[in-house]
Order: sequence, then C-alpha cells, then structure tokens
Amino acid sequence: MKLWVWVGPLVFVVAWWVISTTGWVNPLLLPSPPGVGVAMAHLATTGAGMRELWLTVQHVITAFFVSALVGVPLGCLLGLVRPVSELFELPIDFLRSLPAPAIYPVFMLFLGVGEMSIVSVATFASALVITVYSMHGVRNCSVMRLKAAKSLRLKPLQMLYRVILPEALPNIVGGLRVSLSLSVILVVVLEMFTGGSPGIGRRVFDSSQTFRIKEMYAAIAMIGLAGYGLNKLLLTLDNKFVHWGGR
Amino acid sequence: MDAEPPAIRAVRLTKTYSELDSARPTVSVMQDFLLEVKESSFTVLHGPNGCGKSTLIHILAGVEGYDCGEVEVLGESPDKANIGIVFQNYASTLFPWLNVLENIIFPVHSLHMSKRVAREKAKLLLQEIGFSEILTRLGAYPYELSGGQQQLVAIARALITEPPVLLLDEPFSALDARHRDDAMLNVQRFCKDKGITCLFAIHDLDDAIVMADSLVILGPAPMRVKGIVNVHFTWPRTRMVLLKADFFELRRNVLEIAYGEN
Repeated sequence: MKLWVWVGPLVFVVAWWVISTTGWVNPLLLPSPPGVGVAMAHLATTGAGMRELWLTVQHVITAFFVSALVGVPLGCLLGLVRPVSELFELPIDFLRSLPAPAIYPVFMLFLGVGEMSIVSVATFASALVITVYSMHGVRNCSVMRLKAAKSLRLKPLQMLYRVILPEALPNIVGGLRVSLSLSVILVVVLEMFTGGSPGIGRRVFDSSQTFRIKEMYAAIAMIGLAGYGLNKLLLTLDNKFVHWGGR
Repeated sequence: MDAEPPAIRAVRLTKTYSELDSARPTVSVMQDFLLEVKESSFTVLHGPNGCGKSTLIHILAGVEGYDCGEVEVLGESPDKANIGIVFQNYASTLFPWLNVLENIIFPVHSLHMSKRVAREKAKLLLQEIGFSEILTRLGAYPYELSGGQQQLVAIARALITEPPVLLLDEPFSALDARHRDDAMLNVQRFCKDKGITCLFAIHDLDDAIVMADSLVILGPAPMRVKGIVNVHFTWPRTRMVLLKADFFELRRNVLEIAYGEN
C-alpha cells in the first residue's frame, strides 16, 4: 500500500484535532481524537465494547449469508425465466422501494422485539438487493459470448454453470457488497432505536442519551472500522476471484 | 451436378430484422437466398459491409434464427451440426474468466477427453498451426492479449475439435501482414489436411482470392449472389499468388462482377 493513501485520514484527524482544541466547536460536543482514542481503548479492553461489536458483526454476517443464500438463486431464476420475473417484478420493486426500518413493526409483531426481528429485517432488505443484482447479472450476459457458447453446443446445465453464472458473477458480487453495507446500516439502526439487541448500535444511542460523548464517538468509530473491514474483505475477494468484471 | 450432397446448403433463405422501435421499417437482410458449399472445399463470401455475410454465418452456425427457407449443415439442422466458428467480433466471444488455454479447450466437452489430454492437444495444435506466440501466453487472460493474439486464440478454439465444418467471419482482420500470411497458410494447411469444409467471410479481395476454391460475390442487402468465381491455384497458397499473371485476370473478373450492373 502506498504511503500517500494515509495522507487523507491524517488530514482528517488533524482537522478534527484543530477544530476540537481551538474552541471553534464546543469540546463537549466534539472531543479531541486522543480523548476518543482513550475511550475506544477503554471500550475494547473492558470487554463490553468488543462483546457488543462482535454481537453486531454476527448479526450482520448472519443477515448477509442468509440473504445471499436466498437472493442469488432467486435472482438467477428470475433472470433466466422471463414469465417468473414478470410475475415477481412488481412486488419486488414495491418492497425495494419501502424503507426497510418501516417494516420492522411487522416483523416485530410476528417475531417479537429482539435480535430475531433485527436480523430478519436486515436479511429481508439485503436479499431484495442481491436478488435484483443477480437478476440483472443473468439478464445482461454478453450476447456474443452466449452465441459463442451456443455454437459450442453446450447443454442447458453446462450453459448455466460454464457461461451464464460466470457472466453474472461480477454483478452478483456487486449486489453482495451493497447488501453487506445495507446489513450493517440496518442492524446498527435497529439496535439503536428499537432496543431489541445489546449490540454496539445500542451503546451509541445510550451513550448519546446519557451524554457520554467520548464513548459515543468511540462506538461510532468501532462500527465504522468493522464495516470498513468487512467491506474491504469482500472487495479483496472480488478483485482476486472475479477479475473479469466489465471486460 | 455433383453426386455428393453439399456440406452446407441454404435454399430460399429469408431473413429480416425487425427493429425494436416499431415505427422504423424492418430490414430485409436476405430474400430467397441460395448457397451450396461442397464438402472439403474453401468457399469465400465476398461482399460489401452490411450485406449480410455475418448474419448468414450466424444462421449456419445455428446461433441465429431465420424467417423461412431451408438450411442444412452436414445434413442436419444448423443448431445441431458439429461446426467450429470464428466470429467477426472475436474478442467479445472469448470468455474473460478463463485463461487462454482454458478458452482454447473450452469446446472439448464434446470429445469426452480429460482436461490433461485436452491441454496437451491444445499445445500440439498451437504448434501445428504455428501460433507459437500464444504458447507463451497460455496462462494469460484474453483481455491481457493484443487484438491479434485474441484473434489467434479464437481461431485455435474453433480448430481444437477439428470440426467437419468451419465458419470463419473475417478471421484474419486483426493480424498484421506477416502474421496474416502465416495464419492464412497454416489454417489452410490444417483444414486441407483434415478435409474440413471452410466457409469464410473476407472483405479484402486479395485475401479472399488466396483462400478460395470458390469465391461467392455478394451484392448489398437484401443479399444475393452476383456471381461465383472458381479459383484454381494449387494449394497450399501464400500471398505470392498475387504476383501470378492469372491473378490479375481473376481479380478483374471479380471486380467486374462485384461492381457490374448485373
């Protein structure tokens, strides 16, 4: 990794430091970076913060995997069979247009207040995203490569796994990346405002309500780092194994 | 009349493209088109851009439909026949998730051979047809190759199963003069040795004559045959035939047919 990529974060931290220490902003509302750093270290070392973060990450990963397991095959099916996609297009578009937190109460009615509802809402919204990306991936296969494959007299199943799935994979992985970010957002937001799970999201909300501002920033930074790490992991896998995107 | 049935036969073939926008008229690509290609011969389609050569090749390969008429390749319907094809936009028909070697052996599923044997076969083929520069790039992905190298890979993929019929749409268009001469000679030798029936679409008249037993001169869409010229130079041929006295006479005949009023 080149050194200059650290210049941006460094400028950000220095600017934050300057603003918080020169009194431009009330330091109670924006503590300095070392203050937040100490709070992060405290959260991490006492165990509570890490335990909460791990719980949130577990929820995100569960939502992500279940949505992928449902969304990829469903999206491929919709992409392959036009009548099926026509049947489901309207409901999918409608549900996709709904802000996912708005349907939390429905899940809450059936599953109760708690982790199950939070993970289910995140799964539901992410699966819709993956479904749509996978469907477009299958539909947008290169016409010329399909013709080439047809000229090679592949059987339908061979056509599917030797040509159509590799064609769709860059789009599918694009959908997985979006859905991972969406899972992080939804799990944290629902933890914050529903009180259904003792994850790191709830700590952000609770600390803000009790004016433990350094702790609030520390928890936000931890969520950011975890989200960045998960996304980076997926991006690395994408670059390594799906190198042909856009070719 | 030949006793042997033709390897490729198209009778009263009609094809129109309907535009997605219904306000625009449909385009008639060919109307009652007739073509017969003798077994083991080299037939070259020569005609202006947009006359329908590629569409005809796609129809014969069974990858595009037609409105009416009869089409047979090796006595079968075109989507069943064992053919090899090099598409005009060869680059977009290589599979970017597979490396060069995997692309070349992609069609061998029809031969029921192991991957190891197929890899060896591909290397032998590349040696035989003189594509030695591809031998050094077997692990590369198609998008890492030059346009000319991609075209050589597409040709090798079409030849790997030694299909009885080969359809080649501008197969040498991306090659520089030296590589084109080599590729033309090597493909010619390979296909003549194996008795492969070849149907080319080539718009460069000199190249068309070099590669043809029979040169089919086509008129603009809706495509029709303006004339057929048989070329009798001995095989194998290099572009040295361009220097022969007979060649100029032949070229003049072709040009008269191509640009004549008939």
